[in-house]
Formats: sequence, structure tokens, C-alpha cells
Amino acid sequence: MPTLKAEFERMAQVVGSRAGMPSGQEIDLPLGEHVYTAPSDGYMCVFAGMNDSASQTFLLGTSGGLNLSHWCPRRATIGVAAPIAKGQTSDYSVPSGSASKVFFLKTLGVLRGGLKRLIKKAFCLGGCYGFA
Amino acid sequence: MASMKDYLEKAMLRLGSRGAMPGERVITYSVETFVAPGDGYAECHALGTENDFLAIHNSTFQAVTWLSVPGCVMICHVPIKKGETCTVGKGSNVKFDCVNFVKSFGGA
Repeated sequence: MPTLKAEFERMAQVVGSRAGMPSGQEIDLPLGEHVYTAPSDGYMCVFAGMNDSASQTFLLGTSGGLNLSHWCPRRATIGVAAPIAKGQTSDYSVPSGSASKVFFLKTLGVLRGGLKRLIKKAFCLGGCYGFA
Repeated sequence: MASMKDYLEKAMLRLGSRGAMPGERVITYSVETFVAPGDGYAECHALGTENDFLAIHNSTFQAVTWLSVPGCVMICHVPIKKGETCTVGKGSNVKFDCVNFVKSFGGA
């Protein structure tokens, strides 16, 4: 029979792994050169699509220490992402005038985690905690 | 009604999310192959002189970037776990600069 410690560790690993994964909730950002402060943990994502015009290079850096440089050739599409923590800033340079998109994607842990909703629910029901 | 298990799961999700993010602690290596001292991200920097590629990979992930303008810097990164070996691959027109290991917040 698994011990409480083993059960807790298994749960922590499963939940922890899920927590860092990207969710589907995105915030669209403007093209060009900008600095963006992450409102929560997540990923800075860039899609770049070039038509028949010349190929272009785009750059992305975060204050967390990660950087990206990528070249998108003519008539090609590329996509990259860099993780960023809440409060860290990202400066990016993505050319406008092309079929490109920059957006911030929240992690699953941010969407499904946190205690506010749980505590509100517990107080509203007037219930007490217990092991399930 | 929320149980203790729900409480723990919600707290773990929020903390786990932060734990996986890059933690601003950077160690620089000047070699093209190294063993990660903790969980985090391996980022490679290089300079290209002509159209060519730069890649970085561990046992499961690979990231590749191409050069467009000679003399421009090339950067790419992969997530990496503690104890895993990371290797840089590059074309003949690329001059390797360094590999930065960025530790995650929760990195062991």
C-alpha cells in the first residue's frame, strides 16, 4: 500500500508537470519593436509568415535570461516560443507588414491553480476541509 | 465542498507553473558539450558569416535556427533536466560563442 509521502510525491510530479504546460488562453500583442511585462507565468510566442517579399529576421529576449533569434525565409512560416515568469519583461522585434503574430500564452498552472476561487467556494458553502 | 486534496492540487499548479519558468540565474560555458547542473534551459549563442545553421539538442529536444544576414548573432534554446548532456551542432560558416545554462525557479 503506497505511503502518504509516496502518494504526495507522485501527485506533486504529475501536477507539477502539467502546471508548466501552455494553455489555450492567449493575449495578442502588437507587431514591431516592443517591451512587454508578463502578467503571469507563460510563454512569449511568435508566428512569422513571409509572402513573396524578402525574408526577415526577428528577435526575442526575456529578463529571465532566455533569447531567440530566427530567420523566416520568403514564402515560409515559422513559430517559436520562450517561457517567461510573471513580472519578467520581454523585448521583441517582429516586423510588421508580414503575416506575423505575437502573443502571450498563459500556463495551465496559472489558469487552474491558485487558492482564491477555492477559498471563496469554501467560505460560500460554509464547509470545512477534509481529505477526499 | 473543497477537500484538502483540492487545496493541495491548486497550490501545486500555481507553484509548479512558476517552478518551470527561467529563473534569471545564468551560468556560461565555453564548451560545445556540457552536463546540466540543474533543471532549466540551455541556450546557445553563435555568429554566422554566411547562410548556415545553429542547433542545440539534448536527448529528446532539438532547436535549430538559421542565419539570414552575415555577421548577425544566432541564438536558440532547449529545456533540459539535471544531469542531461547538451550538445551544440553548427554549420561550417558559424563561429560558436558560448552556451548559457539558465536555471529554472524550481530547478534542483
